[in-house]
Amino acid sequence: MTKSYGKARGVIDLDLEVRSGEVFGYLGPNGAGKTTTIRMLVDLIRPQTGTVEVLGGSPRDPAIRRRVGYLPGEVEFYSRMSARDFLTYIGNLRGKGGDALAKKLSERLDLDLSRRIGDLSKGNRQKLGLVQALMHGPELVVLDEPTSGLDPLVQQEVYRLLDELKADGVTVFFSSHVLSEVERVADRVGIIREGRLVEVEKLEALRRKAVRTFEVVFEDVPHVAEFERLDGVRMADVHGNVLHCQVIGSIDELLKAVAKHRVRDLVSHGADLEALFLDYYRGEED
Amino acid sequence: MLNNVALKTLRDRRRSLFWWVVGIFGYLLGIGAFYPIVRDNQGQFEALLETYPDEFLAIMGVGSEENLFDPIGFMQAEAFGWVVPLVFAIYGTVQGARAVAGEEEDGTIDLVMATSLTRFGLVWQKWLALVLAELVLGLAVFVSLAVDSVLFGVEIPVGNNAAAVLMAVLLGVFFGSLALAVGTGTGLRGLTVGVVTFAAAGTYLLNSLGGLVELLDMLQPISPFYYYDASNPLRYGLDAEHALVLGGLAVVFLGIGLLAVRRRDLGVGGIRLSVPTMRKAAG
Repeated sequence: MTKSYGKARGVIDLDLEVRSGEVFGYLGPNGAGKTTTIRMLVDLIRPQTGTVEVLGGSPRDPAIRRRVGYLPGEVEFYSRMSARDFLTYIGNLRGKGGDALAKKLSERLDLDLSRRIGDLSKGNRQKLGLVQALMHGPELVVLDEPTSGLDPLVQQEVYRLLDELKADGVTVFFSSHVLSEVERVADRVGIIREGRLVEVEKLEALRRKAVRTFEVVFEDVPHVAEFERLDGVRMADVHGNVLHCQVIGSIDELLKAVAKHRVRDLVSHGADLEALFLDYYRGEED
Repeated sequence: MLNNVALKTLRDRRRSLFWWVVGIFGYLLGIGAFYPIVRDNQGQFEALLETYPDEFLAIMGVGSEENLFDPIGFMQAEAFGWVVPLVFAIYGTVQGARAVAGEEEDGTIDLVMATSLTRFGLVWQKWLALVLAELVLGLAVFVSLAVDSVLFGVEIPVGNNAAAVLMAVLLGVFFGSLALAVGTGTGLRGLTVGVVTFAAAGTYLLNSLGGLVELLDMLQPISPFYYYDASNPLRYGLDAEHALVLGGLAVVFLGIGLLAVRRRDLGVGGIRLSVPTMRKAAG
Protein backbone atom coordinates (compact mmCIF):
# COMPACT_ATOMS: atom_id res chain seq x y z
CA MET A 1 0.00 0.00 0.00
CA THR A 2 1.00 3.59 -0.45
CA LYS A 3 0.16 6.60 1.64
CA SER A 4 2.00 9.65 0.54
CA TYR A 5 1.98 13.12 1.97
CA GLY A 6 4.46 14.41 -0.55
CA LYS A 7 8.10 14.98 0.24
CA ALA A 8 9.51 12.02 2.16
CA ARG A 9 6.37 11.51 4.19
CA GLY A 10 4.13 8.52 4.55
CA VAL A 11 4.85 5.07 3.18
CA ILE A 12 5.53 3.92 -0.36
CA ASP A 13 4.73 0.49 -1.82
CA LEU A 14 4.62 -1.08 1.59
CA ASP A 15 4.03 -4.81 1.43
CA LEU A 16 4.09 -6.41 4.82
CA GLU A 17 2.50 -9.43 6.39
CA VAL A 18 2.47 -10.08 10.09
CA ARG A 19 1.71 -13.64 11.08
CA SER A 20 -0.83 -14.52 13.66
CA GLY A 21 0.70 -14.91 17.09
CA GLU A 22 4.03 -13.30 16.37
CA VAL A 23 5.63 -10.25 17.88
CA PHE A 24 6.66 -8.00 15.06
CA GLY A 25 9.00 -5.10 15.66
CA TYR A 26 8.67 -2.21 13.29
CA LEU A 27 11.89 -0.36 13.33
CA GLY A 28 12.87 2.94 11.87
CA PRO A 29 14.08 6.41 12.66
CA ASN A 30 11.62 9.16 13.48
CA GLY A 31 9.71 10.29 10.41
CA ALA A 32 10.28 7.02 8.53
CA GLY A 33 6.58 6.21 8.23
CA LYS A 34 6.02 4.01 11.26
CA THR A 35 3.12 6.04 12.64
CA THR A 36 1.57 6.37 9.20
CA THR A 37 1.56 2.60 8.85
CA ILE A 38 0.14 2.08 12.31
CA ARG A 39 -2.65 4.64 11.94
CA MET A 40 -3.75 2.85 8.78
CA LEU A 41 -4.11 -0.36 10.76
CA VAL A 42 -6.87 1.22 12.83
CA ASP A 43 -8.48 3.14 9.96
CA LEU A 44 -7.64 6.60 11.23
CA ILE A 45 -6.04 7.22 7.86
CA ARG A 46 -6.49 5.29 4.65
CA PRO A 47 -4.06 4.19 1.98
CA GLN A 48 -4.15 5.86 -1.42
CA THR A 49 -3.41 2.58 -3.13
CA GLY A 50 -3.50 -0.95 -1.84
CA THR A 51 -5.42 -2.43 1.04
CA VAL A 52 -5.00 -3.05 4.72
CA GLU A 53 -6.25 -6.32 6.10
CA VAL A 54 -6.47 -6.84 9.83
CA LEU A 55 -7.57 -10.10 11.48
CA GLY A 56 -8.99 -11.26 8.18
CA GLY A 57 -11.10 -8.15 7.63
CA SER A 58 -10.93 -4.45 7.01
CA PRO A 59 -10.08 -2.08 9.83
CA ARG A 60 -13.07 -0.06 8.63
CA ASP A 61 -15.24 -2.76 10.13
CA PRO A 62 -16.01 -1.80 13.75
CA ALA A 63 -16.23 -5.46 14.70
CA ILE A 64 -12.62 -5.89 13.59
CA ARG A 65 -11.44 -2.83 15.49
CA ARG A 66 -13.10 -4.16 18.62
CA ARG A 67 -10.62 -7.05 18.52
CA VAL A 68 -7.64 -4.72 18.23
CA GLY A 69 -5.81 -2.85 20.96
CA TYR A 70 -4.10 0.37 19.88
CA LEU A 71 -1.65 2.69 21.57
CA PRO A 72 -0.88 5.87 19.61
CA GLY A 73 2.60 7.28 19.44
CA GLU A 74 1.68 10.55 21.05
CA VAL A 75 -1.20 9.41 23.17
CA GLU A 76 -3.66 12.16 24.10
CA PHE A 77 -6.49 11.95 26.62
CA TYR A 78 -9.26 14.12 27.99
CA SER A 79 -7.21 15.80 30.67
CA ARG A 80 -10.14 16.61 32.95
CA MET A 81 -11.37 13.05 33.24
CA SER A 82 -10.13 10.59 35.79
CA ALA A 83 -8.18 7.66 34.44
CA ARG A 84 -10.92 5.31 35.61
CA ASP A 85 -13.69 7.30 33.87
CA PHE A 86 -11.65 7.32 30.70
CA LEU A 87 -11.29 3.54 30.73
CA THR A 88 -15.03 3.19 31.37
CA TYR A 89 -15.76 5.45 28.40
CA ILE A 90 -13.44 3.62 26.03
CA GLY A 91 -14.84 0.30 27.25
CA ASN A 92 -18.37 1.53 26.53
CA LEU A 93 -17.44 2.73 23.04
CA ARG A 94 -15.98 -0.69 22.32
CA GLY A 95 -19.03 -2.35 23.76
CA LYS A 96 -16.57 -4.59 25.52
CA GLY A 97 -15.75 -3.47 29.03
CA GLY A 98 -12.67 -5.04 30.54
CA ASP A 99 -12.86 -3.47 33.99
CA ALA A 100 -11.33 -6.48 35.73
CA LEU A 101 -8.35 -6.68 33.40
CA ALA A 102 -7.93 -2.89 33.49
CA LYS A 103 -7.74 -3.02 37.27
CA LYS A 104 -5.21 -5.84 37.18
CA LEU A 105 -3.05 -4.13 34.59
CA SER A 106 -3.05 -0.79 36.38
CA GLU A 107 -2.05 -2.43 39.64
CA ARG A 108 0.74 -4.19 37.87
CA LEU A 109 1.95 -0.99 36.23
CA ASP A 110 1.42 0.92 39.47
CA LEU A 111 -1.05 3.33 37.91
CA ASP A 112 -3.49 5.23 40.13
CA LEU A 113 -6.83 5.22 38.28
CA SER A 114 -8.51 7.68 40.62
CA ARG A 115 -6.36 10.58 39.49
CA ARG A 116 -7.27 13.19 36.93
CA ILE A 117 -5.47 12.44 33.69
CA GLY A 118 -4.21 16.02 33.47
CA ASP A 119 -2.36 15.46 36.74
CA LEU A 120 -0.60 12.31 35.56
CA SER A 121 3.03 12.36 34.50
CA LYS A 122 3.95 11.49 30.93
CA GLY A 123 5.00 8.04 32.04
CA ASN A 124 1.70 7.42 33.81
CA ARG A 125 -0.26 8.63 30.81
CA GLN A 126 1.69 6.15 28.71
CA LYS A 127 0.74 3.43 31.19
CA LEU A 128 -2.90 4.44 30.89
CA GLY A 129 -2.54 4.21 27.13
CA LEU A 130 -1.22 0.68 27.50
CA VAL A 131 -4.01 -0.31 29.87
CA GLN A 132 -6.72 0.88 27.48
CA ALA A 133 -5.01 -0.96 24.62
CA LEU A 134 -4.93 -4.26 26.50
CA MET A 135 -7.95 -4.20 28.84
CA HIS A 136 -10.41 -5.85 26.46
CA GLY A 137 -8.24 -8.87 25.71
CA PRO A 138 -7.51 -7.99 22.06
CA GLU A 139 -6.32 -10.54 19.50
CA LEU A 140 -4.04 -8.01 17.86
CA VAL A 141 -2.17 -5.30 19.71
CA VAL A 142 -0.76 -2.36 17.74
CA LEU A 143 1.61 -0.24 19.76
CA ASP A 144 3.37 2.87 18.52
CA GLU A 145 6.53 3.33 20.58
CA PRO A 146 5.04 1.62 23.63
CA THR A 147 7.88 2.25 26.06
CA SER A 148 8.48 5.89 25.26
CA GLY A 149 8.39 7.98 28.41
CA LEU A 150 8.58 4.99 30.75
CA ASP A 151 11.35 4.52 33.25
CA PRO A 152 13.55 1.42 32.78
CA LEU A 153 11.81 -0.62 35.47
CA VAL A 154 8.39 -0.09 33.94
CA GLN A 155 9.88 -0.74 30.52
CA GLN A 156 10.93 -4.18 31.74
CA GLU A 157 7.41 -4.74 33.02
CA VAL A 158 6.04 -3.83 29.60
CA TYR A 159 8.42 -6.31 27.96
CA ARG A 160 7.15 -8.98 30.32
CA LEU A 161 3.58 -8.03 29.39
CA LEU A 162 4.44 -8.41 25.73
CA ASP A 163 6.00 -11.81 26.44
CA GLU A 164 2.79 -12.87 28.15
CA LEU A 165 0.66 -11.61 25.30
CA LYS A 166 2.78 -13.66 22.97
CA ALA A 167 2.43 -16.72 25.18
CA ASP A 168 -1.34 -16.21 25.03
CA GLY A 169 -1.23 -16.23 21.25
CA VAL A 170 -1.85 -12.50 20.84
CA THR A 171 -0.30 -10.91 17.78
CA VAL A 172 1.75 -7.84 18.57
CA PHE A 173 2.82 -5.19 16.10
CA PHE A 174 4.93 -2.53 17.69
CA SER A 175 7.10 0.26 16.43
CA SER A 176 10.30 1.44 17.95
CA HIS A 177 13.43 3.31 17.23
CA VAL A 178 15.14 1.65 20.16
CA LEU A 179 17.00 -1.43 18.93
CA SER A 180 17.55 -3.06 22.27
CA GLU A 181 13.82 -3.29 22.92
CA VAL A 182 13.16 -4.82 19.53
CA GLU A 183 15.90 -7.33 20.22
CA ARG A 184 14.38 -8.07 23.58
CA VAL A 185 10.82 -8.83 22.48
CA ALA A 186 10.41 -9.25 18.72
CA ASP A 187 10.33 -12.47 16.68
CA ARG A 188 10.65 -10.68 13.39
CA VAL A 189 11.65 -7.21 12.48
CA GLY A 190 10.73 -4.89 9.65
CA ILE A 191 12.99 -1.97 8.98
CA ILE A 192 11.48 1.10 7.40
CA ARG A 193 13.37 4.06 6.11
CA GLU A 194 11.94 7.11 4.38
CA GLY A 195 8.64 5.36 3.82
CA ARG A 196 10.07 2.21 2.27
CA LEU A 197 10.36 -1.16 3.90
CA VAL A 198 14.01 -2.08 3.47
CA GLU A 199 14.14 -5.39 5.28
CA VAL A 200 11.93 -7.96 6.95
CA GLU A 201 13.88 -10.58 8.82
CA LYS A 202 13.80 -12.93 11.69
CA LEU A 203 15.76 -11.40 14.46
CA GLU A 204 18.26 -14.26 14.33
CA ALA A 205 18.96 -13.57 10.66
CA LEU A 206 19.31 -9.91 11.41
CA ARG A 207 21.73 -10.66 14.18
CA ARG A 208 23.79 -12.79 11.83
CA LYS A 209 24.06 -9.81 9.57
CA ALA A 210 24.82 -7.49 12.39
CA VAL A 211 28.21 -5.99 12.90
CA ARG A 212 30.33 -6.83 15.94
CA THR A 213 33.17 -4.60 16.90
CA PHE A 214 36.31 -6.05 18.51
CA GLU A 215 39.16 -4.41 20.24
CA VAL A 216 42.12 -6.71 20.91
CA VAL A 217 45.21 -5.71 22.88
CA PHE A 218 48.22 -7.92 22.10
CA GLU A 219 51.50 -8.46 23.97
CA ASP A 220 53.32 -8.08 20.68
CA VAL A 221 52.66 -5.98 17.58
CA PRO A 222 50.68 -7.85 14.92
CA HIS A 223 50.45 -7.00 11.27
CA VAL A 224 47.16 -5.74 9.94
CA ALA A 225 47.37 -8.07 6.91
CA GLU A 226 46.84 -11.02 9.25
CA PHE A 227 43.27 -9.86 9.88
CA GLU A 228 41.94 -7.74 7.10
CA ARG A 229 41.45 -10.56 4.58
CA LEU A 230 39.70 -12.92 6.98
CA ASP A 231 36.20 -14.18 6.32
CA GLY A 232 33.63 -11.86 7.81
CA VAL A 233 36.07 -9.12 8.73
CA ARG A 234 34.79 -5.91 7.33
CA MET A 235 37.33 -3.49 8.64
CA ALA A 236 40.62 -3.98 10.46
CA ASP A 237 43.01 -1.42 11.78
CA VAL A 238 46.16 -1.87 13.88
CA HIS A 239 47.61 0.88 16.02
CA GLY A 240 50.69 -0.28 17.87
CA ASN A 241 49.64 -3.43 19.68
CA VAL A 242 45.88 -2.74 19.45
CA LEU A 243 43.61 -4.16 16.79
CA HIS A 244 40.22 -2.62 16.03
CA CYS A 245 38.01 -4.57 13.71
CA GLN A 246 34.42 -5.10 12.66
CA VAL A 247 33.07 -8.55 11.88
CA ILE A 248 29.85 -9.59 10.20
CA GLY A 249 28.55 -13.06 10.96
CA SER A 250 30.94 -15.75 12.25
CA ILE A 251 33.85 -14.65 14.40
CA ASP A 252 35.58 -18.05 14.19
CA GLU A 253 38.34 -17.05 11.76
CA LEU A 254 39.11 -13.88 13.58
CA LEU A 255 39.49 -15.66 16.91
CA LYS A 256 41.80 -18.24 15.39
CA ALA A 257 44.00 -15.54 13.92
CA VAL A 258 44.03 -13.64 17.17
CA ALA A 259 44.98 -16.82 19.07
CA LYS A 260 48.27 -17.03 17.21
CA HIS A 261 49.43 -14.14 19.37
CA ARG A 262 49.63 -13.58 23.10
CA VAL A 263 46.53 -11.61 23.97
CA ARG A 264 46.39 -9.15 26.86
CA ASP A 265 42.77 -8.10 26.49
CA LEU A 266 39.76 -8.53 24.22
CA VAL A 267 36.65 -6.38 24.22
CA SER A 268 33.65 -7.19 22.05
CA HIS A 269 30.71 -4.92 21.48
CA GLY A 270 27.96 -7.48 20.94
CA ALA A 271 25.82 -7.84 17.85
CA ASP A 272 25.25 -4.24 17.14
CA LEU A 273 21.91 -3.71 15.44
CA GLU A 274 22.53 -0.03 15.67
CA ALA A 275 25.42 -0.32 13.28
CA LEU A 276 23.36 -2.46 10.94
CA PHE A 277 20.58 0.02 11.20
CA LEU A 278 22.88 2.85 10.36
CA ASP A 279 23.98 0.90 7.31
CA TYR A 280 20.43 0.85 6.07
CA TYR A 281 20.10 4.44 6.94
CA ARG A 282 23.19 5.35 4.99
CA GLY A 283 21.97 3.29 2.06
CA GLU A 284 20.52 6.24 0.28
CA GLU A 285 23.70 8.28 0.38
CA ASP A 286 25.97 5.54 -0.94
CA MET B 1 -22.78 9.94 31.26
CA LEU B 2 -19.97 7.84 29.83
CA ASN B 3 -22.18 5.49 27.85
CA ASN B 4 -21.77 7.16 24.49
CA VAL B 5 -20.23 10.10 22.67
CA ALA B 6 -23.31 12.33 22.99
CA LEU B 7 -23.60 12.03 26.76
CA LYS B 8 -19.85 12.21 27.25
CA THR B 9 -19.74 15.40 25.17
CA LEU B 10 -22.51 16.96 27.27
CA ARG B 11 -20.65 15.89 30.39
CA ASP B 12 -17.51 17.64 29.11
CA ARG B 13 -19.49 20.76 28.34
CA ARG B 14 -21.45 20.89 31.58
CA ARG B 15 -19.35 23.54 33.25
CA SER B 16 -19.20 25.90 30.31
CA LEU B 17 -22.88 25.31 29.54
CA PHE B 18 -23.69 26.16 33.15
CA TRP B 19 -22.03 29.56 32.76
CA TRP B 20 -23.74 30.22 29.44
CA VAL B 21 -27.05 29.45 31.19
CA VAL B 22 -26.17 31.72 34.10
CA GLY B 23 -25.21 34.47 31.68
CA ILE B 24 -28.34 34.44 29.54
CA PHE B 25 -30.59 33.89 32.55
CA GLY B 26 -29.02 36.79 34.40
CA TYR B 27 -29.19 39.04 31.37
CA LEU B 28 -32.89 38.35 30.76
CA LEU B 29 -33.70 38.82 34.43
CA GLY B 30 -31.86 42.12 34.46
CA ILE B 31 -33.65 43.27 31.31
CA GLY B 32 -36.97 42.19 32.83
CA ALA B 33 -36.28 44.22 35.96
CA PHE B 34 -35.69 47.24 33.73
CA TYR B 35 -39.07 46.88 32.01
CA PRO B 36 -41.26 48.68 34.65
CA ILE B 37 -38.99 51.74 34.38
CA VAL B 38 -39.34 51.84 30.61
CA ARG B 39 -43.10 51.30 30.75
CA ASP B 40 -43.59 54.04 33.32
CA ASN B 41 -41.44 56.54 31.46
CA GLN B 42 -42.60 55.79 27.96
CA GLY B 43 -42.69 59.45 26.88
CA GLN B 44 -39.09 60.17 27.78
CA PHE B 45 -37.83 56.97 26.14
CA GLU B 46 -39.78 57.70 22.99
CA ALA B 47 -38.12 61.09 22.80
CA LEU B 48 -34.74 59.43 23.27
CA LEU B 49 -35.37 56.85 20.54
CA GLU B 50 -36.32 59.63 18.15
CA THR B 51 -32.72 60.76 18.27
CA TYR B 52 -31.32 57.38 17.13
CA PRO B 53 -30.87 56.72 13.41
CA ASP B 54 -32.96 53.89 11.97
CA GLU B 55 -29.82 51.99 10.95
CA PHE B 56 -28.68 51.82 14.55
CA LEU B 57 -32.05 50.60 15.74
CA ALA B 58 -32.14 48.04 12.96
CA ILE B 59 -28.82 46.55 14.02
CA MET B 60 -30.20 46.34 17.55
CA GLY B 61 -33.07 44.33 16.15
CA VAL B 62 -35.67 47.07 16.55
CA GLY B 63 -38.00 47.21 13.60
CA SER B 64 -39.58 50.56 12.82
CA GLU B 65 -43.13 49.26 13.17
CA GLU B 66 -42.49 47.67 16.57
CA ASN B 67 -44.19 48.91 19.70
CA LEU B 68 -41.26 49.01 22.08
CA PHE B 69 -43.26 49.68 25.19
CA ASP B 70 -45.44 46.63 25.50
CA PRO B 71 -43.77 43.55 27.06
CA ILE B 72 -43.32 41.74 23.75
CA GLY B 73 -41.91 44.71 21.89
CA PHE B 74 -39.62 45.45 24.79
CA MET B 75 -38.27 41.92 24.95
CA GLN B 76 -37.91 41.79 21.19
CA ALA B 77 -35.85 44.97 21.21
CA GLU B 78 -33.73 44.19 24.25
CA ALA B 79 -33.20 40.47 23.91
CA PHE B 80 -34.70 38.55 21.01
CA GLY B 81 -33.64 41.10 18.43
CA TRP B 82 -29.93 40.63 19.01
CA VAL B 83 -28.56 39.21 22.30
CA VAL B 84 -30.50 35.96 22.26
CA PRO B 85 -29.89 34.98 18.63
CA LEU B 86 -26.23 35.94 18.84
CA VAL B 87 -25.73 33.94 22.04
CA PHE B 88 -27.34 30.87 20.49
CA ALA B 89 -25.42 31.28 17.24
CA ILE B 90 -22.06 31.80 18.96
CA TYR B 91 -22.60 28.90 21.34
CA GLY B 92 -23.58 26.65 18.44
CA THR B 93 -20.57 27.74 16.38
CA VAL B 94 -18.11 27.06 19.18
CA GLN B 95 -19.62 23.66 20.00
CA GLY B 96 -19.94 22.63 16.38
CA ALA B 97 -16.32 23.51 15.69
CA ARG B 98 -15.10 21.62 18.74
CA ALA B 99 -17.21 18.57 17.99
CA VAL B 100 -14.94 16.70 15.61
CA ALA B 101 -12.21 19.18 14.64
CA GLY B 102 -11.55 19.84 18.32
CA GLU B 103 -11.05 16.15 19.07
CA GLU B 104 -8.77 15.90 16.06
CA GLU B 105 -6.64 18.85 17.10
CA ASP B 106 -6.47 17.62 20.69
CA GLY B 107 -5.39 14.19 19.44
CA THR B 108 -8.13 12.45 21.43
CA ILE B 109 -9.75 11.22 18.21
CA ASP B 110 -7.15 8.45 17.92
CA LEU B 111 -8.25 6.44 20.91
CA VAL B 112 -11.93 7.15 20.37
CA MET B 113 -11.97 6.06 16.73
CA ALA B 114 -9.79 3.02 17.32
CA THR B 115 -12.71 1.55 19.27
CA SER B 116 -15.65 0.08 17.43
CA LEU B 117 -17.32 3.49 17.20
CA THR B 118 -18.16 4.31 13.58
CA ARG B 119 -17.36 7.64 11.99
CA PHE B 120 -21.07 8.03 11.31
CA GLY B 121 -21.77 7.42 15.01
CA LEU B 122 -19.18 9.97 16.08
CA VAL B 123 -20.57 12.80 13.95
CA TRP B 124 -24.20 12.00 14.57
CA GLN B 125 -23.74 11.83 18.33
CA LYS B 126 -21.71 15.02 18.41
CA TRP B 127 -24.59 16.68 16.58
CA LEU B 128 -27.07 15.26 19.06
CA ALA B 129 -25.02 16.69 21.94
CA LEU B 130 -25.08 20.08 20.20
CA VAL B 131 -28.86 19.98 19.84
CA LEU B 132 -29.33 18.95 23.48
CA ALA B 133 -26.99 21.70 24.71
CA GLU B 134 -28.88 24.30 22.66
CA LEU B 135 -32.14 23.01 24.14
CA VAL B 136 -30.75 23.47 27.65
CA LEU B 137 -29.83 27.04 26.73
CA GLY B 138 -33.35 27.45 25.30
CA LEU B 139 -34.90 26.16 28.48
CA ALA B 140 -32.95 28.77 30.43
CA VAL B 141 -34.37 31.52 28.23
CA PHE B 142 -37.88 30.13 28.49
CA VAL B 143 -37.73 29.95 32.30
CA SER B 144 -36.18 33.40 32.68
CA LEU B 145 -38.98 34.92 30.59
CA ALA B 146 -41.53 33.16 32.75
CA VAL B 147 -39.80 34.55 35.84
CA ASP B 148 -39.77 38.04 34.26
CA SER B 149 -43.50 37.74 33.75
CA VAL B 150 -44.17 36.88 37.39
CA LEU B 151 -41.70 39.33 38.95
CA PHE B 152 -41.78 42.33 36.61
CA GLY B 153 -45.01 42.04 34.67
CA VAL B 154 -43.30 41.34 31.35
CA GLU B 155 -46.27 39.33 30.17
CA ILE B 156 -45.63 37.12 27.20
CA PRO B 157 -47.96 34.25 26.31
CA VAL B 158 -46.34 30.91 27.10
CA GLY B 159 -46.87 29.69 23.54
CA ASN B 160 -45.14 32.74 22.08
CA ASN B 161 -42.32 32.40 24.58
CA ALA B 162 -41.87 28.77 23.52
CA ALA B 163 -42.05 29.68 19.82
CA ALA B 164 -39.39 32.39 20.12
CA VAL B 165 -37.16 30.09 22.16
CA LEU B 166 -37.58 27.30 19.61
CA MET B 167 -36.51 29.64 16.81
CA ALA B 168 -33.45 30.66 18.83
CA VAL B 169 -32.59 27.02 19.42
CA LEU B 170 -33.00 26.26 15.71
CA LEU B 171 -30.79 29.21 14.82
CA GLY B 172 -28.13 27.94 17.22
CA VAL B 173 -28.42 24.43 15.81
CA PHE B 174 -28.20 25.87 12.30
CA PHE B 175 -24.85 27.56 12.97
CA GLY B 176 -23.68 24.65 15.11
CA SER B 177 -24.42 22.22 12.29
CA LEU B 178 -22.67 24.46 9.79
CA ALA B 179 -19.63 24.54 12.06
CA LEU B 180 -19.84 20.79 12.52
CA ALA B 181 -19.86 20.30 8.75
CA VAL B 182 -16.95 22.68 8.14
CA GLY B 183 -15.00 21.28 11.09
CA THR B 184 -15.64 17.70 10.07
CA GLY B 185 -14.63 18.46 6.52
CA THR B 186 -11.40 20.24 7.41
CA GLY B 187 -10.36 19.01 10.84
CA LEU B 188 -9.41 22.58 11.71
CA ARG B 189 -11.17 24.16 14.66
CA GLY B 190 -9.79 27.68 14.35
CA LEU B 191 -10.56 27.92 10.67
CA THR B 192 -14.06 26.65 11.31
CA VAL B 193 -14.81 29.20 14.02
CA GLY B 194 -13.47 31.94 11.77
CA VAL B 195 -15.47 30.95 8.70
CA VAL B 196 -18.74 30.39 10.54
CA THR B 197 -18.40 33.54 12.64
CA PHE B 198 -17.82 35.50 9.46
CA ALA B 199 -20.90 33.91 7.92
CA ALA B 200 -22.96 34.64 11.03
CA ALA B 201 -21.86 38.26 11.30
CA GLY B 202 -22.40 38.86 7.60
CA THR B 203 -25.86 37.34 7.48
CA TYR B 204 -26.83 39.10 10.70
CA LEU B 205 -25.98 42.49 9.22
CA LEU B 206 -27.64 41.54 5.95
CA ASN B 207 -30.87 40.75 7.74
CA SER B 208 -30.74 43.74 10.07
CA LEU B 209 -30.06 46.30 7.37
CA GLY B 210 -32.22 44.53 4.81
CA GLY B 211 -35.25 46.50 5.87
CA LEU B 212 -33.47 49.77 5.20
CA VAL B 213 -31.54 49.22 2.00
CA GLU B 214 -33.56 48.18 -0.99
CA LEU B 215 -30.89 46.01 -2.58
CA LEU B 216 -30.33 44.10 0.66
CA ASP B 217 -34.04 43.68 1.06
CA MET B 218 -34.02 41.12 -1.75
CA LEU B 219 -31.13 39.28 -0.20
CA GLN B 220 -32.67 38.99 3.26
CA PRO B 221 -34.01 35.47 2.64
CA ILE B 222 -30.48 34.09 2.34
CA SER B 223 -29.85 35.07 5.95
CA PRO B 224 -30.70 32.51 8.63
CA PHE B 225 -31.52 35.42 10.91
CA TYR B 226 -34.36 36.29 8.55
CA TYR B 227 -36.01 32.93 9.21
CA TYR B 228 -35.29 33.34 12.87
CA ASP B 229 -37.33 36.48 13.39
CA ALA B 230 -39.00 37.78 10.22
CA SER B 231 -42.26 36.29 11.43
CA ASN B 232 -41.79 37.78 14.92
CA PRO B 233 -42.60 34.60 16.83
CA LEU B 234 -42.59 36.42 20.17
CA ARG B 235 -45.63 38.39 19.04
CA TYR B 236 -47.31 36.10 16.54
CA GLY B 237 -46.24 32.60 17.54
CA LEU B 238 -44.46 29.94 15.56
CA ASP B 239 -44.01 30.17 11.81
CA ALA B 240 -43.66 26.51 10.92
CA GLU B 241 -42.21 27.20 7.48
CA HIS B 242 -39.41 29.34 8.83
CA ALA B 243 -38.73 26.78 11.54
CA LEU B 244 -38.52 24.08 8.90
CA VAL B 245 -36.07 26.07 6.82
CA LEU B 246 -33.65 26.43 9.73
CA GLY B 247 -34.14 22.90 11.00
CA GLY B 248 -34.00 21.41 7.51
CA LEU B 249 -30.77 23.19 6.63
CA ALA B 250 -29.26 22.07 9.93
CA VAL B 251 -30.04 18.49 8.97
CA VAL B 252 -28.50 19.08 5.53
CA PHE B 253 -25.31 20.32 7.23
CA LEU B 254 -25.32 17.24 9.42
CA GLY B 255 -25.56 15.14 6.26
CA ILE B 256 -22.61 17.00 4.75
CA GLY B 257 -20.62 16.36 7.92
CA LEU B 258 -21.48 12.68 7.78
CA LEU B 259 -20.36 12.45 4.17
CA ALA B 260 -17.22 14.51 4.74
CA VAL B 261 -15.93 12.32 7.55
CA ARG B 262 -16.35 9.10 5.58
CA ARG B 263 -13.45 9.68 3.25
CA ARG B 264 -11.10 11.72 5.32
CA ASP B 265 -7.90 10.99 7.16
CA LEU B 266 -8.50 11.79 10.79
CA GLY B 267 -6.20 13.76 13.05
CA VAL B 268 -3.69 14.74 10.42
CA GLY B 269 -3.98 18.45 11.13
CA GLY B 270 -5.90 19.68 8.16
CA ILE B 271 -6.95 19.08 4.63
CA ARG B 272 -4.66 16.70 2.85
CA LEU B 273 -3.35 19.31 0.45
CA SER B 274 -1.20 21.09 2.97
CA VAL B 275 1.93 19.01 3.28
CA PRO B 276 3.85 21.05 5.86
CA THR B 277 1.05 20.96 8.42
CA MET B 278 1.10 17.20 8.99
CA ARG B 279 1.44 16.99 12.70
CA LYS B 280 0.93 13.42 13.75
CA ALA B 281 0.87 11.61 10.51
CA ALA B 282 4.47 10.67 10.30
CA GLY B 283 6.30 8.21 12.49
